[in-house]
Amino acid sequence: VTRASGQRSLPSVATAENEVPVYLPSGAEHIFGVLTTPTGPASGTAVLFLHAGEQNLSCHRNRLWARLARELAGLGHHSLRLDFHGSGDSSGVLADRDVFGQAQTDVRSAVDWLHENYAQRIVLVATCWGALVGLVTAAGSDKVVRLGLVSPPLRVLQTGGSPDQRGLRRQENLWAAVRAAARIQVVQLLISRPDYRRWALARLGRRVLRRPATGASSPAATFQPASSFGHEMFATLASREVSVHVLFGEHDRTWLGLQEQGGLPDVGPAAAVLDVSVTPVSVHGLGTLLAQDVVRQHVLDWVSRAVLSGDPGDDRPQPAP
Amino acid sequence: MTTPESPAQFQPAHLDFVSVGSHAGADESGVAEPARTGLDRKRIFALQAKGGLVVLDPAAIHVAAGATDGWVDPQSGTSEHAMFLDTGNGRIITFVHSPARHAPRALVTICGSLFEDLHVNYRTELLLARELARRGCAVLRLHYRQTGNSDDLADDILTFESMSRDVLTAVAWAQGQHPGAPVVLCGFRMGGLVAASLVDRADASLVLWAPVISGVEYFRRLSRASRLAGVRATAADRSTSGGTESDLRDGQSVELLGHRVHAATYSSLSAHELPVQIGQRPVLILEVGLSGSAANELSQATSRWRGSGAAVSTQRISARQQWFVPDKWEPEDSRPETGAIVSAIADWVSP
Repeated sequence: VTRASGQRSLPSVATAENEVPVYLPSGAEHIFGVLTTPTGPASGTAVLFLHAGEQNLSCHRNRLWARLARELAGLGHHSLRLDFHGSGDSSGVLADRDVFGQAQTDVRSAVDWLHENYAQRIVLVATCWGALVGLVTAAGSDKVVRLGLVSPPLRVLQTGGSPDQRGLRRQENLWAAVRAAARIQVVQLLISRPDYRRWALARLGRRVLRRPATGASSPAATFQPASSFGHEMFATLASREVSVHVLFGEHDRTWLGLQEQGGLPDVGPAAAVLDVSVTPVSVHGLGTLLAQDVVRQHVLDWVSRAVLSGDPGDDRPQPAP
Repeated sequence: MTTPESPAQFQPAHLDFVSVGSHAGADESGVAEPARTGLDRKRIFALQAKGGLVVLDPAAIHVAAGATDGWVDPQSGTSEHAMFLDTGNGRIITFVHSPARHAPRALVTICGSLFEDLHVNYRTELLLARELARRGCAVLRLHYRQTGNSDDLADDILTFESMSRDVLTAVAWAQGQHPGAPVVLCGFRMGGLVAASLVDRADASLVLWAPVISGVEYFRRLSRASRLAGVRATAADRSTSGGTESDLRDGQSVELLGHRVHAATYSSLSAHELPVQIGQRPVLILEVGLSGSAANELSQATSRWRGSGAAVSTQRISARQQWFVPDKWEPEDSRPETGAIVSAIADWVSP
């Protein structure tokens, strides 16, 4: 950390003195969060911390998000630790675990607020279901430059993000496919990436040869990028060069669930931005001190990479190396 | 100072924190000094007779600039705000639920529990606060220092005394906002022990919600739940999450359900139990799935309190006690047990 005077000093961990509790409007709800401001010069990066959903609150288990926010403030980063609607201190009822509804609005509201007021680069750090919501929201927001996802249930992407549904949420049709292909990011990928062209042609071939889907009651298939919005999401993120770090514990049920389906989804060329780490420690639910420490180390690493790489979106002066 | 007629007059909508404690002339033990407070000696003596509780003169409260908007529920007209109370030795995040109109019928401070309880019961406490605000009460919730979103303590060691001090700070602030309003302390599990120990000083009615008999019993149950979680854990996790009550008794810090429990914290909390006498005050005991020897001991305490003139009501909710976040996703708001608990307490506090 370099002070305004130009003298280098050790980073100082923030306290509540550097924090402000806020209620952000989010649709018809008011979502609660704690904003932590840097103890020194701002880096231009803000971290949005999301928890796992129900029966959780902004500080997360054993206050990990609170401790990390204050540590990151010592490194010059803003952060906001957020309660989804219906959780923690926010208004509403978290009755619907669909990642497209109010939960997505919550995250988008927080991202926009941070971007408008505090930082050009937003790094999104989230666990479990919150990670899924963060992933989907980031794909639709050009303000998020990096994602750090802890034990996300990627398996349920094929159900439309809702663990309550067995079948595919969105049945593709020709019109939807055409609209998807016409998106500027997809066109850019088709032009610039031969491997994407090959994958897209293969997908088209499979689509033509495959029998039409029979609806939401059809048995859950193995993860097939051709039939999931997950692939498109990763493709969108790849086109914007948004790095997606994913951390699993090798015994996490989220990881084991993926293994049952044949491993990580084939995300095609988007694999270039997908960084998956698997640790022997179960990190799902941050259930142990060791898991919390592993996650802490990864989060610090993810955020520092966002700063060092000068992720897109940053037009503010960078701190001296 | 007269009681405000409209919540807009006393809600801290434009504040980000309010300083009490040292700014108001109280030392760390909570005893006010006349020279520093500006209060007359007679009042100071009255406060000290209550055990050193600082009932602050609102004029002595230091208010800092900064904007934190709360929100108003359009249906009920109640409002919610969050702020940091400054003890002079770390800040306590505090949530204020205010009724729609007029002076509050009561000041209710919810004393939450610790560690995993904080998560398991958090939303229910919030729902209770909202219901009480709908019924005309002003309600405070707080995170003790060294927990949640509040500041760390200087030595990083949570104690019964630090918890008590935090509750007293919140109560003092609320009394400054609503002079003369009756005070209710509502304590959940370990927070119940704290609340019960403060009712004399705060001159409060008491709600014991899923009470524990003693700090020792609390850690016994927490340790048991942690061992249960350990059985379900993988070998890699089990090796790191060990820790039993006997280790704590031996002066070792342990990990319980993903939380570091310092030996000094155990030593402090386990030295406390429900008081022998509670005075002649109204008490509600809401048992939630309590059974075995703990229930017997609670029954004995209840008889004792009644014998000395306390108006003790008891209710039982047949809900499953949860000691760690369950796997099953279920909105707290729509669980029948949650509704029953909220109604039982709200009906007693503000029928």
